[in-house]
Amino acid sequence: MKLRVKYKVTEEGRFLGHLDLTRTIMKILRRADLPVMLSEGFNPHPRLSFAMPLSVGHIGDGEFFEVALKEEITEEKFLDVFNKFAPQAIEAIEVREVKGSQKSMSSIINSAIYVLNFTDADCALLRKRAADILTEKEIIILKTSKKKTKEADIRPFIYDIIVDEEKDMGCKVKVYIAHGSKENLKVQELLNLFSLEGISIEKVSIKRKGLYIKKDNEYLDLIDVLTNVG
Amino acid sequence: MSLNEINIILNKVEKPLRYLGDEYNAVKKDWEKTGVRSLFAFPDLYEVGMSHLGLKIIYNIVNQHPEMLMERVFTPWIDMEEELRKKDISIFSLENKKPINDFDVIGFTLQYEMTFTNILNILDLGKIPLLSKDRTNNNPLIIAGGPCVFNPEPLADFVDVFIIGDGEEIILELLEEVKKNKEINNGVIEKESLLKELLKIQGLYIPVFYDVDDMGIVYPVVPEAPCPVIKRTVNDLDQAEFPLKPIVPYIETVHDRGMVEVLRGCNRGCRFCHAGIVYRPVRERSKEVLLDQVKEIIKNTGYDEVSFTSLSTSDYSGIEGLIRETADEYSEKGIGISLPSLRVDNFSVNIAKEVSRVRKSTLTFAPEAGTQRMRDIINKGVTEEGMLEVARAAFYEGWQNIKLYFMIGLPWETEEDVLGIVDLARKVLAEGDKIYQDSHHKPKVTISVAAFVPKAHTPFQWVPQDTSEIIREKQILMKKNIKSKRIVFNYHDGELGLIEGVFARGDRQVGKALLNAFRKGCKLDSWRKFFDFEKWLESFREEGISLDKYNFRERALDEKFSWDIINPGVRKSFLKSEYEKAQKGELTGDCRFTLCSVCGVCQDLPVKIDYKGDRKIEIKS
Repeated sequence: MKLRVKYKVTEEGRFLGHLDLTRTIMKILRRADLPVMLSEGFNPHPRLSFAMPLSVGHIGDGEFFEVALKEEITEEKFLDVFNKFAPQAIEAIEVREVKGSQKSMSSIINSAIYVLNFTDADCALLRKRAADILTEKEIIILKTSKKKTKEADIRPFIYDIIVDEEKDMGCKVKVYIAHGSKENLKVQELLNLFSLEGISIEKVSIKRKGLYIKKDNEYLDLIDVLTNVG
Repeated sequence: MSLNEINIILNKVEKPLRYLGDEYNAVKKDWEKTGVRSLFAFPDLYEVGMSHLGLKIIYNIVNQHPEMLMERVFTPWIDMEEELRKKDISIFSLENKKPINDFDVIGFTLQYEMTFTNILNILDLGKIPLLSKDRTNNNPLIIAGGPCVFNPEPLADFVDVFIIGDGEEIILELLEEVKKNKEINNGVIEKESLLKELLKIQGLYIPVFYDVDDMGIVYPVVPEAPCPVIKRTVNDLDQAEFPLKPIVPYIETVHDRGMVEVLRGCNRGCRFCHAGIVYRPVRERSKEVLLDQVKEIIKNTGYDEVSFTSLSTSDYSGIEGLIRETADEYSEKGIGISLPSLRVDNFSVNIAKEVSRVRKSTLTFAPEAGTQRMRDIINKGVTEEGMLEVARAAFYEGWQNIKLYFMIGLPWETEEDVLGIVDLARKVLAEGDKIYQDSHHKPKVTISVAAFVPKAHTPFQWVPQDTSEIIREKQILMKKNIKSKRIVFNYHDGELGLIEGVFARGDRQVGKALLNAFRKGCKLDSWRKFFDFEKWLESFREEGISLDKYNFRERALDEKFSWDIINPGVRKSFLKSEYEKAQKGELTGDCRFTLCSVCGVCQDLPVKIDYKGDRKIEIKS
């Protein structure tokens, strides 16, 4: 059977690179003695697959991996055992069986919601900036890749920005952006747009709230998708 | 230390997880409620330190004590050091994020001479005075253990207490005294009285109770101070505490696997080998105990590989059963076995075959020298025919790349001995070519050739070390004679070895140069890109230290040494006779397989060789 697991990367886990995270999850599975299916070949390892990797330094509220098991296990049991053996860096929050043949997670994800936490910024300024961004028809930035620098319009990849003031806790900016194998916006590129006079983006902490499949204006999460199918 | 401050700097460094703690199985105790607070300081990067078995053992022992805690600190990478210095923040422990000066005791492990500047750097980053005499009761007690303490004098001005030998028992004895002292003195350590109490514990060298003469020879200045200080040993490995819930790092470390120690010590008697003397005698752990430990460690860590570590694992009397039973139990689950370098014999190839049931790793052998003459000088019981037979077996079993370790700069070495290394590599490769002649695979031989550094307490403690010029000539000679592209030649220049040599056989005087070099900016010396030979030479010159005196002269047989203050159990007379036998190319057997060689350990120390094999060992007097 194949399970899709939704998990959190906590404050303690935010410095884990994608490889560190993979290795950590493999170790949890072995400690928990879960009947994981191994790959063939010279260097057998658990058959795991991930959605989009989380950047180092970010925390994540809705991350996903899939794992193939040799034996049946209930979703509740998996969740329970997994968390019993997990270090502080990660916590599983939901598990769902993947039935039949499904497209890979990375091929169906097309959007993400991030929360940018400005601890010492003026909310009014942020709100104004967000409104400005959303009224622009086109936002051209310079994208640098290994070989060259080119101009790109990122406006189509910004779906929405919502600014929430929190009492004594600064300001939370929730951004809905394109995120996937076809259309993709790096959250840092959006954050850079907020770097204006009066706003410092240096100490902003970044949380990926979740990875979604966006249909029109509806954001379906990867567990919901399975529920709807099943 | 405020978490906020720490978070800000961690955002700026390359690998924050080196400094963060919180790993699975890390022990974070209540700081306020714990009476004795100790810190294990590893003078190298996190990735190196977390691979070290000694840290795991001591951390586990101290943290099991309800009234004591032990946390960790490692040498920071340069980016972290820069942030700490820029913000004027003290280096802090991984667990409770406490500035290191807040601890009662800081223990360094001395694994390698070229980490000594890192020790000074850690103290400096913790705003702790480097010299013992400058520290007060408001600073931690600085202690040190590990193999390099058998020549403690280079660090005698910096370290308050050296722990000589196995640390398992003595660490708690020491911390108990700290606890008592703290209780008597209202929570503050009164070092003067503490050190006096510590004199009663066997196996501690406390430099404040000794002085040195003009020749660097150490003598006691109080009657209670032992002379020499005799090393401590664990007598029964089955009874010794072993970490079954080791910390599981998030990031990849150098040895990223579970570890069990199958035996301690090695009696093979290679004459260049420091570990072979200071860890004597051989003490094996029972197979049943090891299998239980493997089970527990895999369960508690989730590692997919377990390593059977020791100085010579293929010598373990129960090795076949241990490996077979482990492989039977775990290969289905994808859990593999890893072994350190193997002895050159066919038996080892069988072991390697068994081990490779899950993962095939490279096969490494250490013939150490290229000619029979030289292998006899160093007492390495390996023959060329034996080596080739092993190579044949290994290639036949499907290995395509064999790694061989050698040394150059061994005593009485000739051009023939140096070229013998190339010749042996060529012959090994030829065996591979024969076996793979009908295959599209092309076998490969990798030779790693280190420059020999004579060490204290070994039969070669009297010999001169090669200069870096001679080492270079020998390397060029080898390079010229390696014709095949499928012989890979790894080597380093000999300059680092020269500095290592000064500390390996140095006295208290060289500690002054160490301090000077550190002040000039020397640190992370084992990283070639930071090693600054010129700065080191300058530091030596300024302190009047000549490499001739420490490295390049042949020492007289009756010379007194600054390290005679430490007794590793092996008698100096035994070392002397081994030195003389070396010159004649005579061999000395391993007492597990031939007669007892009367090295002194089983005769003079309250410990006996503990061999679990069939042969009954008779200890001669």
